[in-house]
Amino acid sequence: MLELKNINKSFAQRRILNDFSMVVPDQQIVSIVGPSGAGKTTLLRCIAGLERPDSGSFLLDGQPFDPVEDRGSERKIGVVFQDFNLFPNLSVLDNIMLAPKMVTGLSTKQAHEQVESLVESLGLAQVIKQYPFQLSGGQKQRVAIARALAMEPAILCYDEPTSALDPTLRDTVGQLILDLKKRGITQIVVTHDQQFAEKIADQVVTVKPLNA
Amino acid sequence: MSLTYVNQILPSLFSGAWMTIRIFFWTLVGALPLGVLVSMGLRSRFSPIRWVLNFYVWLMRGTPLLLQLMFVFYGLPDVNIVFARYPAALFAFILNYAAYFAEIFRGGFAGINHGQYEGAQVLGLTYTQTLRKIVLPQVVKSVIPAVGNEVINLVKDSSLVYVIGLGDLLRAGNVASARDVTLVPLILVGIIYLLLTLVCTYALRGLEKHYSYYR
Repeated sequence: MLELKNINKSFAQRRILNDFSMVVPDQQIVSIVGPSGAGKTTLLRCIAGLERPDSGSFLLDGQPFDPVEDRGSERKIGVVFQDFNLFPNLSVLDNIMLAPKMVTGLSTKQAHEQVESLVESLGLAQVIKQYPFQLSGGQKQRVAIARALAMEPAILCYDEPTSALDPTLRDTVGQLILDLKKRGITQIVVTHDQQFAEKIADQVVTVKPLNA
Repeated sequence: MSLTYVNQILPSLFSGAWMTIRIFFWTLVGALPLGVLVSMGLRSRFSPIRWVLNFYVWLMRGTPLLLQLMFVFYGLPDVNIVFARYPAALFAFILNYAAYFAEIFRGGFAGINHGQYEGAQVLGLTYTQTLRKIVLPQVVKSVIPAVGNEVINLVKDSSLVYVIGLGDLLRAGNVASARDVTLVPLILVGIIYLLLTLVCTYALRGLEKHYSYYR
């Protein structure tokens, strides 16, 4: 369970998050919705440790936790970026195995064994030797999910999972997120798509732009 | 152009070409890694490092390589830094070419999407690991055409070493041409330069092809 307490964040005098608090229970899907500029992505970046909040605290399973300092193999938050940020110079398999090898310190063989079922379950077995530029948007997203899950994070976050995809893939992504929930993965989904959020989430958190 | 004459002067041209190749090779070996380091320094958050390196790049690109060669060989002894001819040439060439390479690499680093760093960061990779496994391979691919241009230039720039009395290919041709009052040696020199750049061109194409497995 992840708890956010009174998170504040401003950029150049403009307040983006004002005393924001929320709870993400284990094995649930929490959706964060709101219009552009409301601070959804900033919130996600704070949770992912890519931005440091000005104040506020994070608790993971009741323990204080600093996402920015959350390093190495104990990394607790996984992220699927809006445009996936796959590494173009690495094959699909190497994208997924990179962190288990470099961060956890597994050998190629061990890493391969560890990610094999993940690759299988996300339907990526056919493309493991290909490179990101050869993949469809949906495949890229599944590689990004596999890459994040390979580090066994406590929580998996998505930034706008539907926006870089063909509209017809929207339901497919939704189903994928629900499937992962069944496997016990706690997920935070940032989206501007209210309908999508309501369809998949156990809890929808709405953020509103603050009047400066 | 009698064949006997060509056969007569070829050994001296080849020994000049060997000097050209040595300067070419060792300059690349020294200037490429140095260029990478300088380009990283140019992006440093610590501004004094940037100032110093920007000054260095300005100095190297802002003055003729010929002048730099003369300065290293004839000028530095005044402050008790004495180089023999060949090391002096390498020293000047490496410093000069590293500055050009640094600017090319700086562009290459700037072209890497910030998302690549963040993607690595959220996976828990250190900055060094990110550079080694993700950023540098992509930078190398993106700079090959620009570096290739400099590499071709270097083949011909190496002829500047005549100014400090080193016997390279062009000088060998010049000597033979002046002695025998004929343009034949210079034509042969031109052909040898063309062959050298042809080899470089093919090597660079090969390198580009090697990196074409991804986009």
